Amino acid sequence: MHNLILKDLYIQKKSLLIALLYIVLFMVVYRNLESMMFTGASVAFSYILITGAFAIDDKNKADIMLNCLPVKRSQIVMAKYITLFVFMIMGALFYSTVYAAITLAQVPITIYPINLTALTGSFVALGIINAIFLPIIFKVGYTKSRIFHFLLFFVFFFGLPALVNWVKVRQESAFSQIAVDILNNQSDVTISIAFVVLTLLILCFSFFLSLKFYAKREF
Amino acid sequence: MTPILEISNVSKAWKGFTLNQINLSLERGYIMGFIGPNGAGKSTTIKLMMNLIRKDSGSIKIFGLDNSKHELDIKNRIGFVLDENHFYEELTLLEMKKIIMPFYRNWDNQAFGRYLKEFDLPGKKKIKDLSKGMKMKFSLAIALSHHAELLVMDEPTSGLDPVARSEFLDILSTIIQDENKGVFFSTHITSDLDKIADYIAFIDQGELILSASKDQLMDYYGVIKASKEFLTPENRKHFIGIHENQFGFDALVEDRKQAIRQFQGKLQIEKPTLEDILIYYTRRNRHA
Repeated sequence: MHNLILKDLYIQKKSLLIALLYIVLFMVVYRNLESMMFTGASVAFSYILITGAFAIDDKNKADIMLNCLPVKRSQIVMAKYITLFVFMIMGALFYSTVYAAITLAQVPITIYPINLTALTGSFVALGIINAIFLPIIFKVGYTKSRIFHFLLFFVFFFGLPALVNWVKVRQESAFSQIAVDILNNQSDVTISIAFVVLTLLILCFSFFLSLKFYAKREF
Repeated sequence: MTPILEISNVSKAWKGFTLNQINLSLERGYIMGFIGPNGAGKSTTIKLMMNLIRKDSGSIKIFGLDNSKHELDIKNRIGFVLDENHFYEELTLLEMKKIIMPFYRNWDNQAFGRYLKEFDLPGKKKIKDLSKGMKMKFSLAIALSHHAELLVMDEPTSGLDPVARSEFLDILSTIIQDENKGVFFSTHITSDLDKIADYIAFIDQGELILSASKDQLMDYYGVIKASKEFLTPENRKHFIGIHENQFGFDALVEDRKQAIRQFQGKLQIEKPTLEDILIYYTRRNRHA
């Protein structure tokens, strides 16, 4: 299976450079994100590489070639989910390296180190986005899935503020108050662990869905 | 001896197309040419063999093993050459090899190097910069470098110029000198098979029309050319894919020797080419 993970890195040598540059650009341009700077940069980095790998596979009709090789379909699916974590780790490592370099060189720009909230935010955002996208791509292929990408981003950009407003309006309700109280009474670590576990559960569900879809796919 | 490939009663229904009860068998040491017009079901059959699509019924055994249950073992021993390039165009041949190599348990790097030299392939050139013939030879080099026992090829010669085709067929002839190997080769260019095939399977509209040794087919069938007076309702029953023109007609007959005896030199009966058999049968099916 590591062959498939390495393959996704290998076919994206150019995209990898662009994604790395994007992290630097993100750190310079989106300074208003402050402590959540890492979340934004790492989500962008991993998203570019995950979708990039699918796009290159799709362009070269690689699904047919891969499925003629001695490899199980379940391994192909599993490899994509593991690759997601590999990209997350790479993003964190590169961000930390750039952070250290800028700090040591005393470049006069304000940048923010990785903190627990930003790290959790990155994991949850990437986990949820990919938990939704991957089964769709495994079901219909990358080209057809792009319409869903568009719809999902539309929902994120317009739906999320609407959701926040909706919650604000109902903040005084007893249920909301209880939820806020529970969160306030927990440490950051506990809340982070809860979010990470929840994301992992969602990713597990997504993985089994992808397995089912890809097993039935015909090329 | 167990056939290297055995397809029994395999069916697959698509929207508007059905592959119906296909039966094929190939022994080691032989090349089977799988012919038929475009859209006949050749690629569908090959995709079923490679598990790229699922069969509705029947069984496919490769090396005597069920192709679904023993998929990994079988694919380790199969070399595939597809009708178009499915490798990453932006990579060089050596980079592509690096990706594929770890998947095969019997990968032989020395053999790969040897085939690159033999086929005159530039390892550092990007796949997108190769000619169609070179891409085919690269597919073949990959297929041979893990010591595949069965080569499955879907229209490998379509789009190749005559020189590249001839070169490709020469390579296949050399490969098959190893009697432990088998080649299953789909094409609609029948002249390729005139040169190298031992067995012919002919498919049209999802039905297997015939499957026999090439020599048997050539000896058995005949092309008949005669004036229209021979086109009686009784004679019509013996003719396949009748083609009429203002002077007479031509058709395929199943038993050439019998036809020669029956018509006692009153009409011209010739040995057919594979292309004749394909055309006359296809014509019959289209007008059935």
